[in-house]
Amino acid sequence: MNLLEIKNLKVSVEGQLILKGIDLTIGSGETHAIMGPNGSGKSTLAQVLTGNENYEVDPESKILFFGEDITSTPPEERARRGIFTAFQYPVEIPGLSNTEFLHTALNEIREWRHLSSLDIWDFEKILKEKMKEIGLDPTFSDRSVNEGFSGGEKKRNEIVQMAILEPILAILDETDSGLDIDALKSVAEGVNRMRNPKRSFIIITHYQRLLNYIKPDFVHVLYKGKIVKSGDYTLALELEQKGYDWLKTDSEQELSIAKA
Amino acid sequence: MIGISYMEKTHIVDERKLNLLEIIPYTKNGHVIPDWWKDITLDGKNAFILLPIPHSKMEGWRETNLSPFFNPQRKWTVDIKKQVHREHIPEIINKYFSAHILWENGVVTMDENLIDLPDKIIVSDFKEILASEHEELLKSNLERDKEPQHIFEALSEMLFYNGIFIYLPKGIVIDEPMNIYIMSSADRQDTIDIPWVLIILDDTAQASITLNYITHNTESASVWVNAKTKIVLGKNAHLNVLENIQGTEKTLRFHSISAGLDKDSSLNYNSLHLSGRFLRSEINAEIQGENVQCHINGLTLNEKNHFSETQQQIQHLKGQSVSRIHWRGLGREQSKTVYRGKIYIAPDAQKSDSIQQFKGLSLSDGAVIDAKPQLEIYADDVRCTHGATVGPPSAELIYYFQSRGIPPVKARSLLVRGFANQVLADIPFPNTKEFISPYLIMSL
Repeated sequence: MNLLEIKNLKVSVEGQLILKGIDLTIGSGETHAIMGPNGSGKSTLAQVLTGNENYEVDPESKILFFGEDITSTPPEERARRGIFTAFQYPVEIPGLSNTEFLHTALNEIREWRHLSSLDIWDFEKILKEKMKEIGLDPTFSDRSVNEGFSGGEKKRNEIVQMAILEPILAILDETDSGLDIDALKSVAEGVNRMRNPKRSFIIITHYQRLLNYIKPDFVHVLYKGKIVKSGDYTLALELEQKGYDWLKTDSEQELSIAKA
Repeated sequence: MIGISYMEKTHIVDERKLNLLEIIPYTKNGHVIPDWWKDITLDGKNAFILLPIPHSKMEGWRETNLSPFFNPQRKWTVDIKKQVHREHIPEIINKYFSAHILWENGVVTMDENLIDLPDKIIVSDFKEILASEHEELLKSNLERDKEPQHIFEALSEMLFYNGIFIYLPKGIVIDEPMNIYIMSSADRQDTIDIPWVLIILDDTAQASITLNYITHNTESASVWVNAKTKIVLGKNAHLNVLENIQGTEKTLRFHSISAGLDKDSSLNYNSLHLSGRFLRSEINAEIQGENVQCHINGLTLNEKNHFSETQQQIQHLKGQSVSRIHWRGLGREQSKTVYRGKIYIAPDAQKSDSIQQFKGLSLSDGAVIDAKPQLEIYADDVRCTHGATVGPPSAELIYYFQSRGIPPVKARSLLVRGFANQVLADIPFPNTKEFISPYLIMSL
């Protein structure tokens, strides 16, 4: 059974159609990159998979996770089932420490999976270890979630959260944006350490740069709310060389041919 | 309206005041009451007759509905106790702030463990100070330095009957917090309690004090607590205060706190407004010397149809001093929370540095939070900022919690805790976070 199946996904925001019918199937252990120019709907796709209720999903569309329809499942339940999104713009939570936040999150997920809850002291040790691995100062565990963090620290913190929550499907929404090369490498290493035959990734990115470090199995190009091209890693290289314009022209031609 | 003859003059007195004017404040407990003491009550009575009952068209009283206090149907009385009823103290307060000095409706008891204090410290009730070497100090600090601003201040003078006196002479330092309990109770009928607290730290003295305000009443009786606190800090004196205010469905509070801060001194005044039907708290701190630090932090938890109002003023009369106000209000159900803060910088107070911040979190559509921070600056070389934000928990934040597996109800409770933690982090008393934790759960 496929880990994720997206069928004819149409999504609108405030009445405007953003995703215009996406079909995508992801198997266990696969890493898919979704690339595309600004405004193509990449982040909308990430938000809809996370369960953001501000997006209107067409009643005909389906998102299946291990065959089960999760199209209208609330975000917390998707998270408990194993879907994790590293956000492009992680929010700050003043007054709540990383430890307390993530300890609560992990225990919610563990409870749903019928696992015993983790003691906060044991948890903090694990958290500090993960922080070290991903290049975040372990003393940040006591600091409020993302408060006063630099852009790079926030992104690293998202990867720390991913490492702690051990999702089955991880969606990285433009995790590379605003990262310097060192941060990019440590984020990529964090992701690569987690790759295994049971865990899948969706890497959403504008640039091919991150894909030098996290080699995807498949690359899809999203343009104007549709996947206009799919291929293997070489497609990413091609995009890096040629930019997106050639695809725009191709797909627009296709569209006009279709219309005709 | 009824004419009343008082001190050979006739005034038309608002009939809502008459019952209060009939109350006889003195107790016959063997103390000879000196004339200066009687004068406080007489001057208070005079002012009480002359000052109007504030109403919603008066500046500073727009949000304050005083009908529960001044109601012709109510018969307020004074009920001075013979002893303190410790059994009425909530367990949770005793657990965190073990009682040292206890007040109940005018009677004061000292706990045995207070004996450990350094000899020179005076901890007493006002009446014990009479005819002692400190009477003059008491007198000079209780006598008015300015006219009462409104009827509640006048009432504190008119019905003045006792108080708690704490005096640290020059250089005396106590490390452990001294815990004061001010319990006001109404057993049979509506009762008014007038606790005065006078805290004087002479030059270079240092202390830490908690003021725990609680009430106890029977189902049919209301308690009106008209509390007055005065703090006097000498040069380079340092005082930390934690005020913990609680009350019942039948508790009406009016609290007035004034503080004078001499050169190089510091006051860190922290306040937790945790429960009670009605509270108006006024804090007025005067920076009277240079190089002073004045910090005011507080958290209001408001619920049901309760009303909680905080009015604060820090006056920089001398320059090169620092003031910080950090106040937060959490309102739920149909509660109304009002914050009024003002920083005043006198023309001479150059190089003043002041930050005033209020944040309100409303947990229901019916909860009203109204904030007005103000600056009044007459010096040109100062650094002053103020800000206020009020709103419900952010939907974006709740979504972030959800995306990590945490359901909205739990997300809100963590957000509330986080919101409170930010001001609790500024409160330099140990265990405040733990103490307040159950109250935060109740506030959801």
